[in-house]
Amino acid sequence: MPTVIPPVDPLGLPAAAALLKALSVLTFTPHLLAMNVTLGGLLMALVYGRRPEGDPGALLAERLRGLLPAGMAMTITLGVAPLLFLQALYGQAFYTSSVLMAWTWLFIIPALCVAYLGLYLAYLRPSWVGDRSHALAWLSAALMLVVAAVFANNMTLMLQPGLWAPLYAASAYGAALNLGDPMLPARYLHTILAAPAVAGLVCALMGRRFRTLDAAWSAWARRTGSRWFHVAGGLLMLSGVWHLLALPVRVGRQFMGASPHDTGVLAAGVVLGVAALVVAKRATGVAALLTVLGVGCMVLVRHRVREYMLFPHVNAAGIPVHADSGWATAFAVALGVGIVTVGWLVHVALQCRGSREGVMPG
Amino acid sequence: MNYPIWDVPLTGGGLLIAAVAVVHVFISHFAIGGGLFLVLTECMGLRTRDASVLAYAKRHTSFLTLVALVFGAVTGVGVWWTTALVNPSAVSALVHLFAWVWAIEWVFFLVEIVAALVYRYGWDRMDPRTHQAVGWVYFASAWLSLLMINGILTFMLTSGKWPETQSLTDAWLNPGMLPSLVVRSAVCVALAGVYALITSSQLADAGLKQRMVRYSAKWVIAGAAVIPIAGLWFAGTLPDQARFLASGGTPIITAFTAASVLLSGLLIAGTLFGPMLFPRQTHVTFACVLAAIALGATGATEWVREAVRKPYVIYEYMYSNSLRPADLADVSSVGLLASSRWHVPAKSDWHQPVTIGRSVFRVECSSCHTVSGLNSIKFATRGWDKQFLDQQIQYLNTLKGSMPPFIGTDEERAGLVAYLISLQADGPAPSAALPARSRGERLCRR
Repeated sequence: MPTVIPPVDPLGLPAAAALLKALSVLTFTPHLLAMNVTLGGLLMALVYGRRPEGDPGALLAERLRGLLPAGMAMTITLGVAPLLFLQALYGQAFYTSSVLMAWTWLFIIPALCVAYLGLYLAYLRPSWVGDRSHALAWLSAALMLVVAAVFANNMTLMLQPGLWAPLYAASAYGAALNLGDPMLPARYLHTILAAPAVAGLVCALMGRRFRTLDAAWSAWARRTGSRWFHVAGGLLMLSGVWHLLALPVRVGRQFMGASPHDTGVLAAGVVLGVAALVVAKRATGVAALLTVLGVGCMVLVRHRVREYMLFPHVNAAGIPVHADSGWATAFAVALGVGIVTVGWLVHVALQCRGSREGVMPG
Repeated sequence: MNYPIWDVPLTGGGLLIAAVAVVHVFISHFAIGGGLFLVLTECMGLRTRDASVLAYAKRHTSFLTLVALVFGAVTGVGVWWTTALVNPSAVSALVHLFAWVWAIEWVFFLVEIVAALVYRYGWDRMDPRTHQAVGWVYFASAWLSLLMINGILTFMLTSGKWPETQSLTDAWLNPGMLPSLVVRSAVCVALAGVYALITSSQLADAGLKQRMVRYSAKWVIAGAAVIPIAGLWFAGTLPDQARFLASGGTPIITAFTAASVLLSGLLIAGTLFGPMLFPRQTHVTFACVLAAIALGATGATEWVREAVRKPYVIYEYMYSNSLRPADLADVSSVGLLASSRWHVPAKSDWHQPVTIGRSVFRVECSSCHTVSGLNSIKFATRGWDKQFLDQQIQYLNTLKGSMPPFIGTDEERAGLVAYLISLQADGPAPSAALPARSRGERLCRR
């Protein structure tokens, strides 16, 4: 069956493909980090949530719980921009694969709603649900894992133009999945393992923050967080090797020397990740910085894999550009003002931590 | 034509979009109006030094963050999601044209979410001045988000000068943009009051309940009073065809227009003669009934807004079946199926008109019609004979203003006719009592 590719949108790109690609990578990185913190934090809260009162694990779960619904809201919101740039650059592939697995793809919407409701009830309104709060939190975690699996499915299916026509010929009811793709399990595992690793780092950072207020708990949190970071981070590295080997040979070889630039980016990501693992116990802040940079490199690798996989069928660089510099500037200004405003909001929130004075008179 | 078509049996994809979109509009407008409601209520509590009003505002904040933050965001993405599955070409066009507008909207939305979280967290913790400033940031960013997205929504109906200039500014600042912004802002205010009635009607303190229920009712009436005036202004910007469809041109759209007006009137009357006059007696069940009426009014209005766009999905640019007027000549000469990438029958079936017709139906008709479910083509063409069907299809846009023209070769049109006739043979004719010829003649006379 011949490969079928939708044509390029006649309205063209709103800016040079390189700019949109850069924005895609830059906006996806915070989304991925927020997802890792939320999912990994939830897993930690579930693991330690049943510990008896007074146990440091119970206190960790308590401290994480309040953050998780907000973390989920931020994950969803931060995911909107990369999805926008993905559609502008690779809509031909993304829309096609989405239609092929339409029902599964659509399932994400109710799944996220139920997952959030579960988190909200379990952690912000536990008195409403009583003993069921733990079960609800598990339900939320399970739904998040399913949502991640659906995303991995679509993100790999969109990279396989050769599969689209046969899958559509088999069923036009939006029931196709990409389960036969060797990239899928490797990619899914790689995505999921990052969550406990990053959450472990967050736990260690929380320990660092409380070192003067609660020294015993601080030591426990740093030790436990580092352990999560090391174990999950080590497995993450191994799953990364599996992912690399699962790529089609013509793509995988680009990251193993054929393309010096892409090999360099992958190597930088690995070095940053290993460095973060090495320094995590002694310098948690440095490890966090190295991790953020490492995740950024890996997002760039992910982007390059997509480009290699889709070439020559879908090539964003070949789409005509109808640039509008005025609106692009307006976006830059809005983004700048937005970042400053978010910075101010976070600042005033941190300033009033623990205070119980505030708005309520009397 | 360019993308695979998702077959949704019985309902078609349109109903899925409508279901997600109505819920999203109902939540997202509340999220915006609710921000203003909270800040002004907090301001009132501080001015009167009334701790009970502030305590109410704090509780209402939790309600807003639960409903608005994630359900608003997820259903918003859900509208995008569902529309892209049902009509990927249209979403692709909007994304490519409005990418920067959407990106700016995302920045405002991000600020809105962070501000809402900090505002909720800041109760009992922040000094009043800072807390109010956070609240204003929340409301301002939420409204700016509406400002951006509203221009995209109205563009789909009133594309203004864009077809000639191809300028993004002309596309966004289209004729319907400003009046629609006023309508939607008023809806935000009214819905803020509707939601506030649900929380205020549950207050235990009778005095506080009386004040807050009446206060909430004023929001509903203030918002609802502006909607008809701004609505008429918006209607004045609509293309003639769209106005015609909503005001008698098509019975079903006219019925929904009437439902929208009636339900809005019912909401005002219910608020006036309920919570406004009898605040102490207002029960949460009654508040929920008012919310259900508001949801009905929102749903009917949004449905009309979508329906009057027909035959376009993006006015003067793309028909509801994703074909573009600009491609009409090319596709007609080459053939629809020869131009289509996904729905081409096997070469061995090219001599079978019914097979060709089935493929033509999927590409050209299935965005609005199902075979035998919602808006069933089998039902719509019941009793029509071959000649009458052919005539209808040949002059489709002239005979039915809400439908795009048939695009394709004579052979493809003959195939579509053969396919539709074959559907009639699949089951008993729904209206067997009326002879086919006479039904056709009667419709022709209309």
